[in-house]
Amino acid sequence: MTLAADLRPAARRPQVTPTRRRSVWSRVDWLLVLAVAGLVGIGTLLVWSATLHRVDLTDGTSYAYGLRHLINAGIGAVLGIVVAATDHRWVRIWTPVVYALAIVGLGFVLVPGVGREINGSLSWIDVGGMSIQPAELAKLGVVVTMALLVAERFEGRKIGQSLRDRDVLAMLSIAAVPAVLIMLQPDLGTMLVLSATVFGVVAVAGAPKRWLALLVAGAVGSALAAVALGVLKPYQLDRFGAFVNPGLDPRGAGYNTTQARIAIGNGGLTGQGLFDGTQTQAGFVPEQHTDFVYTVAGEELGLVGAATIIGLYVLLLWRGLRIALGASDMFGRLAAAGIICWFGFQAFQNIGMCLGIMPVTGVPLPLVSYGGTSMFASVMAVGLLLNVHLRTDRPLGLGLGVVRSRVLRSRF
Amino acid sequence: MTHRSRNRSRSRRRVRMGRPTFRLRAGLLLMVFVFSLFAGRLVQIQGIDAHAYSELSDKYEGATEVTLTASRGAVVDRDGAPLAQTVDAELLFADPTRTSAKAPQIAKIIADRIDVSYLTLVKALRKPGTQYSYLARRVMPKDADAIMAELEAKDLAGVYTERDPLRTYPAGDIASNLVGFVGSDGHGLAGIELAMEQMLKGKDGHATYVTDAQGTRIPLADSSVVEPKPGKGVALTIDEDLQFYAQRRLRQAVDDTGSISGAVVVMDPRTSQVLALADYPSFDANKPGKAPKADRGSRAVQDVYEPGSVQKVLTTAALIDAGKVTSRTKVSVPGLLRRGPDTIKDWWPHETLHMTLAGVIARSSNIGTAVAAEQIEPEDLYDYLRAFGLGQRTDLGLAGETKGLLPPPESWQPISRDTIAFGQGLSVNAVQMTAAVSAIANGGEYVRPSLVKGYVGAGGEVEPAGPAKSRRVVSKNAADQVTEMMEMVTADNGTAPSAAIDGYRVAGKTGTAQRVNPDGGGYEGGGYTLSFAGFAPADDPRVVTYIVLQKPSTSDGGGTAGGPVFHDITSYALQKYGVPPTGSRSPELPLGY
Repeated sequence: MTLAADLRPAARRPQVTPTRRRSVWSRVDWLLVLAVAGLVGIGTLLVWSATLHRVDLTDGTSYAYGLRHLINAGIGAVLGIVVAATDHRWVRIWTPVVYALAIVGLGFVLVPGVGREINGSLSWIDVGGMSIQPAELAKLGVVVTMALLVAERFEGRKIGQSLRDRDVLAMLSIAAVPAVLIMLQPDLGTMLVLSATVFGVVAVAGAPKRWLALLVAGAVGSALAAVALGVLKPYQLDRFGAFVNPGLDPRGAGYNTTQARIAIGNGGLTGQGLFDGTQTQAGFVPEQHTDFVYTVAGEELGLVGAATIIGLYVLLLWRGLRIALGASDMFGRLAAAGIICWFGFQAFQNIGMCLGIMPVTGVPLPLVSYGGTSMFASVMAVGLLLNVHLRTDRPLGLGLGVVRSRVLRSRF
Repeated sequence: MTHRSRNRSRSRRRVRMGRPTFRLRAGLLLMVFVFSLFAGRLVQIQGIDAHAYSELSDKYEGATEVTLTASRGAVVDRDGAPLAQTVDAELLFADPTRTSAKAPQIAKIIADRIDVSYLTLVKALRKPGTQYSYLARRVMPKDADAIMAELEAKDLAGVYTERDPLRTYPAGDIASNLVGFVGSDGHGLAGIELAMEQMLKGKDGHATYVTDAQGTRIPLADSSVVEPKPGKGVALTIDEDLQFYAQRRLRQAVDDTGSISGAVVVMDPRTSQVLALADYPSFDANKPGKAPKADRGSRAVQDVYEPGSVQKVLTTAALIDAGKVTSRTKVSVPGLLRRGPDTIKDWWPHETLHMTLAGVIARSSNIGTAVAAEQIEPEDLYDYLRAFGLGQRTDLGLAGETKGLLPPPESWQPISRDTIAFGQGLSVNAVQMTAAVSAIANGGEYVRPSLVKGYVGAGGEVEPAGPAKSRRVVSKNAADQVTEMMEMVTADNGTAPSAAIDGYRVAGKTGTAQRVNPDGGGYEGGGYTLSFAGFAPADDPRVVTYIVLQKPSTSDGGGTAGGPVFHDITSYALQKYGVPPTGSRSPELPLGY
């Protein structure tokens, strides 16, 4: 066991000097940017295609949604660049603000007359003509706040000291407030993503195994209790039932599942061509520009397109992992870990749903689905990843080799 | 090993730490693994099962594949007057998932317009577990339009219409036994509607509609509509007016004589086209359910009976054609004719009479016919009767036609030739018998009877039915001699003077036969079958009319009961077709010697 570096932020490390720093451009993780740009680009085309003939949504301008999606991505990109370029200290200062804003937003959603109900849950509020989904912001807020909490408690401690029970409890209480508010909407899908993300952050923070076991047991237990006590609404149970056997009720609960699967199956190897998917253009698949956008890829771009999206996610997650491993401080590591857990689980849930191997839970496909708040939050998260990476003094390169982290190195 | 044991030793004081980087890597590994599964699933759906899903997509688009019912061809009479036609109507159905909440309001609007009970409607509008519930069938378009307009005005959604054509029979019970009727599914169940089903129904088309989860129909971009091919119409040889008159006159005759049923067949002897085919009791084709099953078919082709003395016409024609006799052949007719254990009698008691063959026919003597028939071999008689169409279906095209019974000569008893000669011991249906008499009227040439004149295409063009097959049965000379003998029947001293029509030469023959008791037990309790067959003008026949009355309660013979009916119907037909009297006079054949 080697006792090595302390846990202070890298900037204060003596060996890191401005003269040794390479230019900012060369230190940007371009692979990450490429993955994100690819996803957003494909997403724009898919959203455009999905809403091409949806006169009920677009008021006759066929490209209206594609354009709005692009504008959202543009605004997101600006926000992301700002986050990436912001000094880490300011990031830490802004973290509680994001968290607080998300909590306030989630509170407002539940106020009668303010929140807007879509598909059985109160998830939206209208702010200045824009629909905002605070739950999307909450995911980012929870991740960074938990990271901040652990970082504040750890930095300065010597190695060997570990996460105590009360630290874990504090992390969980940070997640608990928005979780309760989200459950009140109710938004089961976001709740699942948030739980997975929290679990990831807690795990990476180094929580004792029994805590992880407890969290898993708690999740299983509450799921069973929810079913037993009838907390879940009938439509939610229907969706699960239809997931097991979509043939049960192809017109009702199984409709989304079946249609989604058919659309994807329709695509074959190379797809029917962008803007030419019969199921898509006929408007068969519900919520196709948002939650079921992946089916557009499946039908119009085929196996090639659908697999490309999966490939881009794997690239994104891999770069995220490299950044987390290479992070020079606890905050950066945990934030990066939380973000990849969030992206990974949400993409898993969404694509799984479209492929009919996961139940239908309405979560957007990160960076691809239409939706302003989701896009802003996701791109800001990517910005944060880039920020963490920029502060890593060593280039990560494309190396697949083991990254020697200075953080908790002794734990290897 | 060492640090592990150290950890264990510290575990009481210190919580064991997790291993963050390991966990991160494990997490990524898990995610990559899951995404690999996804990729595998994609390959499965899009690569391996692609065809299956693709097919499903075609089918799914057609999940609400709507059948476009081909319009059913009409049935018209020989002049194009409609006997059965299809009018547009609509079916109302509801999606109970959308209507159950507002069922009472919707039900009221519908019940106010059409004859469906409010409670039935409410029940249908709330039917659980389905998105398709029938409300009413065959709603007239104006009612359906009014209902839909009112529902829309009141913003009540979930009720839809579908095309549901209605078959109507504008002539009601006229020719209903021939035309038949359709079932609730629109398929023919009887008569021409059943027999010509394939031609009438056409070929259904289909349209595929896209239905989204809300049940809204979106027509597909790529047209997937297969237009239905309308059915062809069938033009019958029936004359609606004559049919109407024959039915009315028959009903009167059946009622007057207290018969259990009756049939009238009117044919054009030159073509054997059936001009009228009346049955009584009958039914209204618009309400077939209200009539007993037995009345819904055509007795004229379905019921068999022993023809009785009308048969003597055929026997005589055979005898003359075979060169055995002429109308002037002298026949000594004893009062009784013993044949083994049996005794043949005439309908009136007499001592031995000296009659010509014409007299035998005019007086309708069984014994005289039997004596004359001794001249012909059973096999030859059988062949003649087969040629006249007995014992075989006429293939008129109506369902359930019987072929009657003409026993083969090998099975004939000693008495069989005698009884068959005067019309007992064999059975026929009314159309068979009419066609056989028609062959006499047509100069000895048998033409297969027909009921269908042609087929009417969608554009109204008529494609004539194939020419009827014909065959010579007896010589023109034989037929003419028989006709002359038959003229004596309607003469003042014949058996049916009431059949005579002023100004026209009329040939005819009465028939009175014991009727087999349908409940078994031979003739006992079966009553009689009265019949009359005849044609006019005798020297240039245009109309053959045959009347059969089953089990009348009166004791009249065929001449008394059937003669006036023949007179009235044949007169009507002659007038309708403007057949002038030929102006010639009937020859006076000697009846006795």
